[in-house]
Amino acid sequence: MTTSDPPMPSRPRSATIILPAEPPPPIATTRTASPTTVKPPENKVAPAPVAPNLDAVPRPGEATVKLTIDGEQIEVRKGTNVLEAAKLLGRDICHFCYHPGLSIAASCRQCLVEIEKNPKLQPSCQQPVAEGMVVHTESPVVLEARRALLEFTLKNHPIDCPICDKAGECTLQRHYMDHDHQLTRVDVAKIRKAKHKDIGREIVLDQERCILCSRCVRFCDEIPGTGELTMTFRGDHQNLDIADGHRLDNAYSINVVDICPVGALTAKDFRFAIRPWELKATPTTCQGCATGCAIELQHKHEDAYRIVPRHDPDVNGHWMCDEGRYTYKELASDKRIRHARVDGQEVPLGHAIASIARRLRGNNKKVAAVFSGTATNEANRALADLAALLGAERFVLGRTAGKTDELLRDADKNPNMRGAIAAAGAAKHEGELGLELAGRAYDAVLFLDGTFELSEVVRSALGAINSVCLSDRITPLAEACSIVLPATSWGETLGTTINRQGRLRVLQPAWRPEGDRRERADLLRDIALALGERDLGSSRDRSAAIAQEFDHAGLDQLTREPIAARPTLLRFSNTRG
Amino acid sequence: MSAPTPTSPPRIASNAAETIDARGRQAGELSLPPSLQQFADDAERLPTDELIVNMGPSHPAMHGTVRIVLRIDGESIKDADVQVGYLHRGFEKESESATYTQIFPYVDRLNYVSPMLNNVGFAMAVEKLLGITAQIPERAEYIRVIVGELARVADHLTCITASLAELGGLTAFFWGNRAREHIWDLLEDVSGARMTHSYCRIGGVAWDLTRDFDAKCKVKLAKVRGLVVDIRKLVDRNRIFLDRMEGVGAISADDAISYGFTGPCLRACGVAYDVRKDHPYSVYEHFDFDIPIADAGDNLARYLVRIEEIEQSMRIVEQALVQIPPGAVIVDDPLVALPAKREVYNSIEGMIAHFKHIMDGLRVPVGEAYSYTEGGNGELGFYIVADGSGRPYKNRCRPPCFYITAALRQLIVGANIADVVPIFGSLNMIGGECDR
Repeated sequence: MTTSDPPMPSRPRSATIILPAEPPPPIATTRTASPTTVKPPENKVAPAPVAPNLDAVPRPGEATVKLTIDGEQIEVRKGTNVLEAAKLLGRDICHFCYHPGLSIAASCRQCLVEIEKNPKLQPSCQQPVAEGMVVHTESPVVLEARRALLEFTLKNHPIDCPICDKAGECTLQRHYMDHDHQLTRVDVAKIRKAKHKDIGREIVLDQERCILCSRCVRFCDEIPGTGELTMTFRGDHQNLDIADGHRLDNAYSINVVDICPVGALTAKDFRFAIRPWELKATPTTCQGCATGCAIELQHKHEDAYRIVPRHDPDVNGHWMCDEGRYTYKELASDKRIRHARVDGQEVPLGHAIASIARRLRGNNKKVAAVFSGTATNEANRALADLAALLGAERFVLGRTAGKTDELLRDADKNPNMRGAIAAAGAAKHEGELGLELAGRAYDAVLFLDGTFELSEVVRSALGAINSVCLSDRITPLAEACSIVLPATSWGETLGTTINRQGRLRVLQPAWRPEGDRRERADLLRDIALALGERDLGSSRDRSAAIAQEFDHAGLDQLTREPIAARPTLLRFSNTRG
Repeated sequence: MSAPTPTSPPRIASNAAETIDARGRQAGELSLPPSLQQFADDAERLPTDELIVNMGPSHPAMHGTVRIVLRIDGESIKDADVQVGYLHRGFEKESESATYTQIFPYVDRLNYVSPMLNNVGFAMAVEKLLGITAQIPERAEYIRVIVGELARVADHLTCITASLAELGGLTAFFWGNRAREHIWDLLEDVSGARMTHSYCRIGGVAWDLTRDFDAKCKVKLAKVRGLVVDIRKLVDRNRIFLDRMEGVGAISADDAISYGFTGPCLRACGVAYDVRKDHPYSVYEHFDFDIPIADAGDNLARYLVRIEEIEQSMRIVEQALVQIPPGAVIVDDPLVALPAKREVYNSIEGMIAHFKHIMDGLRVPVGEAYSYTEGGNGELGFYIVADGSGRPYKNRCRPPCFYITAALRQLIVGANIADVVPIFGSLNMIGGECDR
């Protein structure tokens, strides 16, 4: 390259067609997670990764194109491709390498379609729609091409289904049954390549299973922009591999497992843990940071096994960070608090509530109410009501700040700091300082969550006063408090949070809570009733009110259906891969 | 007992000599103290007092699967409330979460004395939905007929000999069971299981007959024939048997049809309806067999029809063994049939096909179908609604004996308690099928 050459665009590198939908999002500014003064942060612009491919749904005011697909005429957005246009008609053209969130490679050739006046079959993912175009997606030539390509792809594929983590949600399996389903005609040895190659902190690569679609290569190039993966050699011997001297250690690496159409890339955390068809999926929101990515919590009965991102164009696009994926470990059953504890003794919930009422009662008692950035709006609002009844001082606490980047990870590791601050209203204190004050100046302190870090100073301060903690799992703070009430975890809660963009995010229960675990707002309501105060209303009532406030139809529906268990079986699944 | 003499009257209350007591007895008659009198009066009234009696579900003749609440007057039945449902297993609901192939073990447990017939009936319903009825290999059809008719023999033998055992004819029961063992030996050779075979598959059968099946079948059928002759010799002209069977539990042809009777119970009323003849399916048109009928519609008629059907079924099996062509036993369609094991273990194509077949199930197109066959008790129907997935949206079973059991009340009202046992036995209510 000579010096006079224009600089190469840094990303995407392997793309052949790039159709930017919108200007790239402005870089989000970082902020400290624990400001000393409590005021609601400004709304951030959505930093969601922008999909390079336009969907085909016509937008008002945008140019459209009319074309015919399989005899049906359809009007689609200009600039989209034939594959997306066919999706609008409910025709799922089979493909491996195309991904709506990545640039187009057209390397798998699986999506070939017949376009009239075109001598050869064309890859529908790479073919922009044109006025008057006539497309055939199911003509004999196309079907034969699909079948032949699958046969070719399967030629070197190892017989791994029984030990492959992807089996059951594998795109190759699905396409084989849909479009090929004939037995092998070749009897030659398969090319052997490396199996279970450790290529990164989270990822194991099986080169034999790889069908060379290059989705993962494009992901690493285009989304985190780190470019660790590459293709080496050619033909039968072509390999997916890590670039020399690199490891796949970026903060978004597990996304390559989701987009891998086969089981070539598997997550160390999920490998051999469970079969995907045993899992049920509950759509909910990630509780790892203020971004609030749309996720599916995948679980069997009451045990979560993994989190995968859901497509949400306004928040997280198709992706989520590795850190967020591990938040399901908070839901581990061995850490759950199932029953109330008073002074170290397990007691029935009613006894614990009565104890709290006894200890809080009295006009001259000074009470501190600690709101939480890790609890839902419902819980924080209930605490605000209770604090008003008790005349309590308000504090807002949250997790300490963490790593951040321009993409999805926010330094504020609290999913609902905005909601907590809004609910606390006239709060004065936040952070460690507030806890110390609480120790010195108050007779009792009530924590909405047990996730805050606990220093020695606070521990000793808590030892001297009545402390109540609503916690779903055993934490240092919960263990230091004299009364612990069993609250629901985010896997069991119907509730809402407000993310860094100011958007309302909905949490849905994946399973019924065990033991005496109850929604935080319901526990606080019981405390108010035990104190002889007015009924604060149930958690569900609050959700319904929030649904009204934010005009959120989905949440409104959830509050009317008692348990939102909508397990998604993976049979004939089209959702992943 | 001699009449009381004047010198020693059986007088208890001497002071009531000239009075007529409250019960209208002449003075001097036998009179008891009030408590004993009450007892004696009750005993006098007993024959005319109606009584509610539970028969079943733990009564041995009720098979643990049905309860009849009888209102009796002495020995005669005034009214009856027949309650089914003791063997309800949720078959239809269970089917909705099982793949089409996984339902075969469930249908085995419908009429558990002739599971092969249920297997065939269910497979045909799914094949109708798939539109592959015409493509089933002929050899598979013949095998289905052979195992189905053997199952029918076992079914009738069970019905006949179990009801003989309930009447006390234990010898016939043992002989009948021995004959049934011969049939089960054959079916075990074919399927690997004596009762719950799960041998059929959508599109054919699981595997071919054993190599020596033909020879073995001939030997076994000869033995079964001999035993059936022995049983007939024992009971056909047995006075006790005839007294219990003849004219008992009779139903008219019109009533039987209006109740929805099919099978041997309907044919015992003189209606020659048999799905194999009237709506021929599979390869039944290729065989020469008769439909036995009887006129009386009573227990004996049902016995006679069944015992003759055993012979007719064996005729069909013998003809089928001669006619059976060589060839494949399951349809050659990778979307319907499992790939051969050598393909599964040695090629990725076979592996994926096997995996998807087992995990997702057959892809049955959206639609609905009712398919009916001649089961052991009559018309066994399956009505399946498919939603395009690998599992039925709805799988409704028409169990033949459910409609027959519905007539039980009519048959036993007016009869004696002892008649309930042979009537119920001759209807051949099978809990697994009736209650599902």
